Amino acid sequence: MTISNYLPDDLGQTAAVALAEVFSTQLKLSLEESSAAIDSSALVHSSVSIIGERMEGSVLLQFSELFAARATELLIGGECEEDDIKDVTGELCNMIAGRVKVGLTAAGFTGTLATPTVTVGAFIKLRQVGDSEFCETNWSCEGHGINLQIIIRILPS
Amino acid sequence: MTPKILSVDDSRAIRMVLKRLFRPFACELFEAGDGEEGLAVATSEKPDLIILDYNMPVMDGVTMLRKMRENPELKRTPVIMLTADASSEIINTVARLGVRDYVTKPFDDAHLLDKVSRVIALNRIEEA
Repeated sequence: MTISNYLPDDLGQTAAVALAEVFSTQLKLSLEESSAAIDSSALVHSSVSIIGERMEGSVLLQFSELFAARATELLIGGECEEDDIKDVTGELCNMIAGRVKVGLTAAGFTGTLATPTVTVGAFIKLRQVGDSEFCETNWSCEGHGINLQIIIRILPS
Repeated sequence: MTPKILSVDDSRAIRMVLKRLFRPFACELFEAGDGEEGLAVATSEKPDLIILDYNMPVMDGVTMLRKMRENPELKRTPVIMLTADASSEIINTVARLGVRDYVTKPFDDAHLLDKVSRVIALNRIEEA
């Protein structure tokens, strides 16, 4: 059994809805699903761990530094510093993870969100361990690529 | 009297969003980056409302709430939770601690402003 067996929508759909809601509500931006992988070596990545007694997992959001600066400008306005860009990227991932966690809690998998970790560098791929469930989707927003990965593992009882 | 609002959130971006949001209104906005700092600012400034995050380093929102409720000077200060985590167990926990309202991130500016104005107005009626 994977976590999707317990969710009303599967894990990928749950994450996609969360991403679209965060972008539309907080940034007033719409997204289009894309088949193309993001193409940049200078990416900002933010990850948030979800840790519970019965499950554990991570949400990873990554996009170009250019888009990170654009999102920061949209959210807080005016000129932004590097710390602001990291903070906004972390907060966006935190909001997505929060939405995913609501779905997990409703399905009986309680847990806590860790504070976001933000780094800059080349593309990151989460490594699937054991019988964890992994979903990856690519999106396009104002011509920028957005990559969202989520991995959840039900812990043995 | 100009209302005092305290924003307690570890995300500087969220605090900046709130600063921008409340700038056109006649209110004083104070900031804190965690619950410990939030308690210190709340004690010194006696805000009319606290907008509080849940998940923060050093001291989280629930611990700050518990400490406020033990403090005679702060126990009646209205609090709106503003957090990414809207899980039922967290909503139940903060409701038991007397939180007036709950707004989940991502949030709509007008929705938050509406809740803030309602809570401040209601509190003034209760105190009159």
